[in-house]
Amino acid sequence: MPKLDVAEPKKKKLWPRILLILSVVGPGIIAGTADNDAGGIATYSVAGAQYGYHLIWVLFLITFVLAITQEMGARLGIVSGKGLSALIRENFPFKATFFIILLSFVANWANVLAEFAGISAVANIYGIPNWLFVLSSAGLISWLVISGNFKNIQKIFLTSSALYLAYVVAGFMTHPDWSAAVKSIVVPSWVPTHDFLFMAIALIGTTVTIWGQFFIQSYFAEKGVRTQDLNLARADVYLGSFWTNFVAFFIIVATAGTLYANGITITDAADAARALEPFAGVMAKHLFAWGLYNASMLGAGVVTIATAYSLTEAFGWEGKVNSGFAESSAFYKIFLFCIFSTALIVLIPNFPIISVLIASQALNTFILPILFFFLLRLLNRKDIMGAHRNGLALNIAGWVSIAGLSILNLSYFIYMIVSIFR
Amino acid sequence: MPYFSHLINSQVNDSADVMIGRLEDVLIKVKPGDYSALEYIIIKQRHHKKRIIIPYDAVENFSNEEVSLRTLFSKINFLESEPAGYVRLNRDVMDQQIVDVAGARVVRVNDLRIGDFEGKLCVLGIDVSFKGLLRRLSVSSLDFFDFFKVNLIDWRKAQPVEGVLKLDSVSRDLTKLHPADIANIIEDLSVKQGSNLVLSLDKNMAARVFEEIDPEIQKSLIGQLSPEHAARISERMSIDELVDLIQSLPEHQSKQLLDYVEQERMKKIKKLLSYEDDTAGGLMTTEFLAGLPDDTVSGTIEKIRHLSESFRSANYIYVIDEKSKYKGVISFRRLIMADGDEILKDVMKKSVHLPLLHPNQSIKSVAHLMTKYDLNSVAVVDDENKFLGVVTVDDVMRVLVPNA
Repeated sequence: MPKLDVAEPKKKKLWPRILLILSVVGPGIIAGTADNDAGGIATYSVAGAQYGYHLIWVLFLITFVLAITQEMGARLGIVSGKGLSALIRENFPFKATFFIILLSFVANWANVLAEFAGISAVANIYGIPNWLFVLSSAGLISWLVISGNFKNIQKIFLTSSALYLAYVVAGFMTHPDWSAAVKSIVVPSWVPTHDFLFMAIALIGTTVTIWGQFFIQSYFAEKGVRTQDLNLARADVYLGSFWTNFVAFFIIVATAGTLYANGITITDAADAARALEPFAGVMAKHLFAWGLYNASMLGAGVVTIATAYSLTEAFGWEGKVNSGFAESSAFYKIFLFCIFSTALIVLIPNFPIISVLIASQALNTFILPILFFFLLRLLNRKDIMGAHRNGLALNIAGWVSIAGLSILNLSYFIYMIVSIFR
Repeated sequence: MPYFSHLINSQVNDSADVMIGRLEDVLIKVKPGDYSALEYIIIKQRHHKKRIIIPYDAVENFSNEEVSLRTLFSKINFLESEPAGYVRLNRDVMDQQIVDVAGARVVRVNDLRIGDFEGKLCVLGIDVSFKGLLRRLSVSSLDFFDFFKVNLIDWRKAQPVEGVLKLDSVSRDLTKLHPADIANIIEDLSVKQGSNLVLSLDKNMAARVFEEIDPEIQKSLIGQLSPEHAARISERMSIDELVDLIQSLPEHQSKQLLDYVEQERMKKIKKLLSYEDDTAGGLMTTEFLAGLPDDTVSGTIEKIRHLSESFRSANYIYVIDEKSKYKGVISFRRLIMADGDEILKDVMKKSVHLPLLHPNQSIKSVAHLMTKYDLNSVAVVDDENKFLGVVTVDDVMRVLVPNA
């Protein structure tokens, strides 16, 4: 049978290049912003309120770790054309695959629970009946994902990413001490307490996530980015990592300049929205509240899609975001299960959501290093990556990131256990 | 009869019951339409890095607990290196994706069924069921009531995805499928694998398959293909499908695609692009069979004989005069029944008696008209009765039932 011949690629001009960049942009920014989900915003708000600018330098470091790990995921997805769970299934023992995918599922599920807790908190701020707001939000997300096609979903996600500007605006409205804030980016400072370490680890844990790793790879694999355009994808990922922490910076600045300066402690993002009002005006409160809602919705959508993807891929229950309900029912069943089981649990009065979230955070810390171990092994495989294998520098950076994460996570884990039994 | 997951890692003993090592993999040869016999086994020796490869003939007994050989270990002739052209069951087939040719879908191999076929131990089937997953986890005993059923795909009806892509030509079984079924398979595959599969098809088939693919996945595939490859496929696509594709692409990609279109086709494309999507003008194709009122029947039939294959859904000849005015239509049936010397205008159904469409009519009214008059295709004309194109029933169906 005659194969189609390959001709020499034409010389690229500038304008098509720019358009090409725009067409590749998306996954990195979406994954990056979705990292600032309900849990993320709560962590940043509390970090700013409790420690002022002291934690900002940690953010600066996280940006690099996030950029490195996300770039690796994107590259693996583009070169292999497959998602992370498919590659793990094909290249590691089945029992190991099952173990890691199942644990990831549990951790991701708990993450979705956090998103709905965020949505419920927004309902409380405005005095809207909880069940009404939570269930209609769950319905809205399901409708968007099931009815919308890939392109529309991406547009909505990108718009949502832009809405995070609300936090930047809120940051400005609190009139912070900019010189001190900027200085704190590069000058490390330390408060020698348990809680400070705890908070630093929480910052990392909410930014570098399991689902983020699955999401970025599947999305790039699915998008059909060519290997030639790897650099564009990199730009997207780096931009996404920057944008995430840029927004995080402003959240910390907003609560640091007001709540920390006035010695007000808060425990979650909804608290932050309420507490901001007397200092930064009613607009700041609304911006924070709606920022939280937007973040929770984006997180719920992205995390569930990533979860459903990783499960269907690993176990061969084929399904794609764009192949319609009947074609990939397993995908949608898992998706709907995650959305509605968490939405309903949030509505149970006195359900110990905080405990579940802490447990899931512990699980996250446990899985992440294993997942990165798989990731690095795959990135060094010649038969998969060819010329795009990890170089020595990237391998070192990768292992150092993993080691650093593991040590911090492990100490967090130990801290958790110790604090439970104390 | 055993499953492969039971065999793998089982102990290998020689004829004196001395343990040699453990079974690491099995080599087979894939022949289209045949069960694959086990040809060589790879043994991982204890305390040795080196694997040994021996022909399956040397195996006396193959069971869940152990593999026993016919001779003493010292007398075995093992291969120096892995023979070329073989596939490893554990590495290359287990846990990989396969194309279930009969079901036109892509599934993942959970386990393999091994059994006797014509006196040889062969791979007979592929387990794609949940039960297979439980077996792999060694917990199938938990399924007391046999709630989950084993679902086997005949080995002869399966095509490894990676195998498809490594071979220069796709298995004949696969290309014999209907383009819509191949399209379904491509939709199941990752974009990269899918685009490789498209490229392995011949040009006409590639174009027909491409037309059947979901528009969103079409877009991803175009992004993955080089502009030259994309152009080669689009060259053979029917013009209305191509226009739909061009409209859905981002500007730089559609421009790239249009760069390769020849002038004659370009004119038609530009015309079609000027109509709204969901109107008769947007739905219609401008590729149709036309004849002049004074052409003879035999001449027209001769013309159809030499027609390119790309006119696929043609069942009618449209009679159009020199000024492009629509005069009438003749079905193939009527054309064949007619006398060879007759001229078209005497055989045709006159356009004045036929339902017609205008380019800006909505899809709803198009569907309504076609249903009411039981039409497979309708001509589209402008206010001056100038012939513009044809809307066929499948163009309408595709919009009304997008996910089929």
